[in-house]
Amino acid sequence: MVEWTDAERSAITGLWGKISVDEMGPQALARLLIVFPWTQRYFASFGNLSSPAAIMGNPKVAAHGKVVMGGLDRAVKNLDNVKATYAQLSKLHSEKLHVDPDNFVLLADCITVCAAMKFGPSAFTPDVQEAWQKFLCVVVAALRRQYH
Amino acid sequence: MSLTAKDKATGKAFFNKVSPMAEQIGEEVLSRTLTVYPQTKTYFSHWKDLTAGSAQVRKHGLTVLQGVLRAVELIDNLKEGLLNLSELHAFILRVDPANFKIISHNILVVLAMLFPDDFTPEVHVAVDKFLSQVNLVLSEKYR
Repeated sequence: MVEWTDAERSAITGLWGKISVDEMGPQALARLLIVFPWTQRYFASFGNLSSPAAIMGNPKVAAHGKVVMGGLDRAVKNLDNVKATYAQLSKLHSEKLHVDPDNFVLLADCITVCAAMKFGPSAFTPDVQEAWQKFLCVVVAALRRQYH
Repeated sequence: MSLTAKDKATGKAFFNKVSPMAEQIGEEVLSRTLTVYPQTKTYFSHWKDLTAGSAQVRKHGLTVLQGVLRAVELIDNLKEGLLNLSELHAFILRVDPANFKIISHNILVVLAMLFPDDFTPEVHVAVDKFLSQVNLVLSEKYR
């Protein structure tokens, strides 16, 4: 069972409350595909991913970014039970999507970078960063859990 | 994943732009390293004050950042240029190289945070590649 301090809960829900899934989702996914180009292997059907500009303008990337980012909402609302909340999602990524789970941490890092850019030093303090990264760690662990 | 000419040009241009804020960047990087990854505090047990923003953290953050800026200048020959730094880390500091990744991550986060308009995905990938090369060279002399 993950133990969250009140400060951590507050930091996570506080950040999440100010994040627009429609804005940050596409940014984070595009960044993943540009900074870690091997991740493009999972998106062969998305059309033109041939350059950073193409990726950032690709409507399928944007749409999927919203889906992925939106998935975090259930984790934020179920901080004390992320593992169970994501059990089906983990199975999906393993058995149907066949995503190498090492990629989850790459996306988590891209999300963190996007959050840092949005919130700046006064809101994204070291303590807030700690809570946010702990949250993403828990999400990643839950997504890895059903792999066999 | 070696640096292309474009990576080097992008990296150099970006670091030239941000270097005037080296002190603030360094302080944020080290503060976050110590706060978000508390195991890194084990390397500073001889310091009086490890809290984010303390005088020792500010001073050492700048030292680390200046090392990175020096590496940017030596970007065309990192292996030879950083030889002394590699020996320092290998034989004297003996920092576990896993920590280089931690510092690199926080450098990326802080650069993104302080320069949101400039830290485009293209700059992000160039800087990430550059820092990976620096880490590799710093580990060179370990064994």
